[in-house]
Amino acid sequence: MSTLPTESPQMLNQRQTAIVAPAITRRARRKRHPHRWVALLAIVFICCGFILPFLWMISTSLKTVSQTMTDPPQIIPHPAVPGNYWKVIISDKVDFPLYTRNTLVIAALSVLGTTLSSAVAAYGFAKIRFRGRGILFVLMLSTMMIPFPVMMLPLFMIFRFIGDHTPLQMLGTFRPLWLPTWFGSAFSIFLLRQFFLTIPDDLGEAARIDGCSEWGIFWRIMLPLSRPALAVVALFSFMWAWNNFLGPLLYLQRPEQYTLALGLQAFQSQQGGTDWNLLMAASMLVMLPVILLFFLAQKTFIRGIATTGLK
Amino acid sequence: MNRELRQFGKGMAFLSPWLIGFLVFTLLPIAVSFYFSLCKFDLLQAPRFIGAHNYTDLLHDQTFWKATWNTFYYTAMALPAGLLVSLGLAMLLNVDIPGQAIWRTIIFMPSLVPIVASAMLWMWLLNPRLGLINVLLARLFALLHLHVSTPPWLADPRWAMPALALMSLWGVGNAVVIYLAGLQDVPVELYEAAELDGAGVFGRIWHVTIPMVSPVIFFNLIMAIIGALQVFDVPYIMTNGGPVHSTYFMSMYLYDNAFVYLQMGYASAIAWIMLLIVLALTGVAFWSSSRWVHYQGK
Amino acid sequence: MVLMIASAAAMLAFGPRPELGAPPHRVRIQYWEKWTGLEGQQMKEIVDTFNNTVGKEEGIWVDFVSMSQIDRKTLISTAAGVPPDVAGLWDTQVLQFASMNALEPLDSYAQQYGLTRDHYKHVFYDGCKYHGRLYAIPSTVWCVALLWNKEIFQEKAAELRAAGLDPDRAPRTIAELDKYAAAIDTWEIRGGTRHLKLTGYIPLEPGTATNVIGYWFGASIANPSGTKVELTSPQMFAAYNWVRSYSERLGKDQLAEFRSGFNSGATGLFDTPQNPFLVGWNSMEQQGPWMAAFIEKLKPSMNRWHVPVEQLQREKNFDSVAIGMSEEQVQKLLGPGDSPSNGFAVAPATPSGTEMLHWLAGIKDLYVAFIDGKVSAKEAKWLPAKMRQKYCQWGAAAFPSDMPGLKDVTWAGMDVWVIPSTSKHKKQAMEFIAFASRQDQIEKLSSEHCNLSPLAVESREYWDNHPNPYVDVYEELAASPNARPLPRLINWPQIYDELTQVAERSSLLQGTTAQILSEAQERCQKELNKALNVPENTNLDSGSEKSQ
Repeated sequence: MSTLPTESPQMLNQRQTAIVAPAITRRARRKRHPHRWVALLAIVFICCGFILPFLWMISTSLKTVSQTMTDPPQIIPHPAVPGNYWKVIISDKVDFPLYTRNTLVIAALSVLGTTLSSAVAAYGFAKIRFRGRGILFVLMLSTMMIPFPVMMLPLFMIFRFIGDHTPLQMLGTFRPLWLPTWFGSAFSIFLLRQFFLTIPDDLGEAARIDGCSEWGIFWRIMLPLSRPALAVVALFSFMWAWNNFLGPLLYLQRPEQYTLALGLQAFQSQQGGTDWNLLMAASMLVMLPVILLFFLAQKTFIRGIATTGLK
Repeated sequence: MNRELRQFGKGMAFLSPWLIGFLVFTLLPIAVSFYFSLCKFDLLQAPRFIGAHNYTDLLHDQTFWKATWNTFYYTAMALPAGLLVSLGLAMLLNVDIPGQAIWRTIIFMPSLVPIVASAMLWMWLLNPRLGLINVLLARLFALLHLHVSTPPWLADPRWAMPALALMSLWGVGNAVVIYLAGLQDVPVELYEAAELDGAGVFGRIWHVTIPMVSPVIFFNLIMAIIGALQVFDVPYIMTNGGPVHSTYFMSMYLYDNAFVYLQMGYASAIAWIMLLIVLALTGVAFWSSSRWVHYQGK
Repeated sequence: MVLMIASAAAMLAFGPRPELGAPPHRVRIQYWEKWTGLEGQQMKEIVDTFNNTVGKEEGIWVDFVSMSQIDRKTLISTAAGVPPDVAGLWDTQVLQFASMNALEPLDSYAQQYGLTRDHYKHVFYDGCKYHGRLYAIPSTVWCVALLWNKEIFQEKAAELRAAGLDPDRAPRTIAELDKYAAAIDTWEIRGGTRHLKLTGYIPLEPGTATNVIGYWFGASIANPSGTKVELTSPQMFAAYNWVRSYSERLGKDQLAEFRSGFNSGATGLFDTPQNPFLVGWNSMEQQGPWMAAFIEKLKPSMNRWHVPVEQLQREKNFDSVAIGMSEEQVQKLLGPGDSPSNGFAVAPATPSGTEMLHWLAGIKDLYVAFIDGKVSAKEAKWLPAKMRQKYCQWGAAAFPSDMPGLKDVTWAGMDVWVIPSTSKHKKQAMEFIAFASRQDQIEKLSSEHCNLSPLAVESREYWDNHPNPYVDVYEELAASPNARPLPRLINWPQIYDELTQVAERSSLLQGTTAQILSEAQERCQKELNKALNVPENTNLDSGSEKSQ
């Protein structure tokens, strides 16, 4: 599926933008350029390098265990064993459908929480001038800089405390995995703030004169204008939740709650020898939805400003 | 005065969700970890306050200094390379070329590979004898009639670090995506104006693209500093710091102290030193940012 | 739209979800184990058996969680006051945890269930003791032996004989080991430079036992009470000089390059596809009993050396035998069978009125049961371990130690069960450990792990059905008076990492052995003192350490 977008939707977008936001300059993707064939050549070359490890991954996932052991290694397995993928899906070590469901629940809640709450906070940091903003911003940034291993225990203790002193059970549930995302993540707030800052203030001022509330400016003007950045934040929070291993390891107690990242561990083995073919097949399966999601979502990054917003 | 108060209220209203989370899920744990850093705390027994002992011990700890040096060395290699490569790739991927979605996906994919799998993949690629990198290098050298032997990569204390830095370039997909989002905000007429002024491709990149995406570059710079200084999981599996501690990073020393040697107090002290280093570096970045970061909104 | 997604997500998160819980009126205990994959699966079966039998009678239900890196979960949860009731730990952690009062002493419990010192091979029981008290119960155990590749020895027979060595046996002294190694080492020219192609032996390969390398030379690494690190002893000096001698002979860079080709990484990934012993790049290694499982899984041909082709084919064809096939079809696949009575193994039990046929397929006995001329059941059974040895392309022998009093020296390691001291259900936890420690259960567990049984006495079935053909060699080593547990140091994980540095520095010839060891000694003693809470500059016992 090649994505040579037609010009018209983009033009439409620009026109809509012009109507809603007269002050903003016309933004769009660069025009087609004669140099683009050079760019294509370069990108194809680079992509070859990037994809090499994947080819090996796919190749391993299609081998039998003993085929993984040959010297010199086979690049194209013969015979190929696509059955490895099926073996992984129906494996009794890992309940793939159930783990996928669990992971999806956590990921969906995290994406929603992170995107909404981070956007709100980022707007506060970017567009409202008030005393103490600078200090709070520095504080927020520094929270990203403390290495996680030393936070694990205090955080765990806090969740235990909440579980003991409120009706909300924490340990052994999904809550510790998604609840914190509803209070914004420093990474996303910082990212969105950087984007909000590139949007001219005049836009908000104009709306304010028309009697729009601060929340209205945020919801009706800022959010629609920052769709690419919001998409990035959503994508990253999805990825993070999808691949998170440590959180589920610490907080989940029962096999029926496990996530895919935990499930992958079952294909490694301490003393029985890791089935690298199955591990690679399982890894491919776990990656596939995110790759697909990205493939579909990447359009958001080219469409530029769209005015439909999130309503 | 009244207006200032109102602004403050408004600001607080927007920040409140984050502020609550910050107090409970971040500030509190950080404060606790600072207390731990002043204790002898082995995780399994109650912490015992010992003052700044952990910090003074760190000053005399060779392994810690070695790890600090390694971390800086790695950062100095991986950070600029990563920034350049990711920005370059993003600009290439922003050009309207056939199959754009596919290329973007390919560049992004590596950041999705589970860590164990990617460590295995790279050990295979960097294998001095059978690895693809050395096979290709050997061909190249033969083609150029160079009589140089291929690097032993992870086996050699001198080559292990460059190998890890090289590997880090494989994972620039995240930064590329952020740049891509940023590049959408560059107004087309700026390019047109630059073109009219006779600027070439590089002129336009230098005078238009870079200033216009500088807020995003700034973001990626800060994230890269944090990321490089905390680099952990892939080297932990691939080299575990070896050979002879040539790839032993602060984060690994921290981890080992926390969960292997059970010296959580000491580990917390390392964490706080790391925090100070990152803060100092980010401070420099912020201080310099007024000279090169341009916010359109202001 | 947002609201719709939100409510859908909320439904998913809070909506009904399958609850596979314990039956009511049972005390629920948490058992966290680090085994994944097959090993985890095997333990799960034991847990299930317990829950359905003893657990039912005693009103106990065990929740089993098994995952790699679970030690982090155990640590954090214990620190936060919600520990598991039974935890699977490594032997490296027992003294560390015990010294921090994190483990429940098990002496009286163990006594009550008959888990006494004489019930176990002494080395394992003793390895669980700290300050005279028992803090852990061994689960599956191992020791290391020297494995050698018979085929490479055959190929290099001429070279070995020229050096006055016998290609049909393993070396018996360290000097002999070095000679074997040198005779086997093979070089190749690649890209104009000399590279190692095959090595006879590399002291640091694999990483499994490298940090107890001093044991082969009679070093003790620490004093018996665990208050002193002893890295500068003459024995340690000999050990690391020996490591050096290989780098000097083969060239340190060549050796390092060759070793990194094994892709073993650094964290003990010795089950990688480039395992040098399996691929045939290294002809001798010290390995634990588990290596037989890797061989069977990754390179089964090494267990079927010189098995007649038709028997190999028969073993393969056995997979195609399906329930409901006619006798004729089966005979076509496997050839004419005989009656099982003349087999040496006991035939699997079958309902009466069935007919039973037997075939020999190299290292396995194949049995097929027929009812009315149709296949009703099939089973492949190992030949008794000892009978499989002649088909092994590899051999196992005691590590060659020629020093007086060091016959059958080995390092004996283990996985253990412990009860955290803050557990709320210690009695129930011990009930479960005792169940899992029953001879039938623990032998099943050990042989599934391809490890050894910690018990002093093994059953006949265990010996016959063990997946490692050389189980006799390993069991004998584990029972030897020279089998040694890890050094009795409460900060062994830290000392272990220091010793890794010693090994790597020696192998890369960074500094003299004396220098490397004395530097490490100073650091290690300092770290140990810190762990023991010994004030700085204090003398522990005599005046051998500098005290000013």
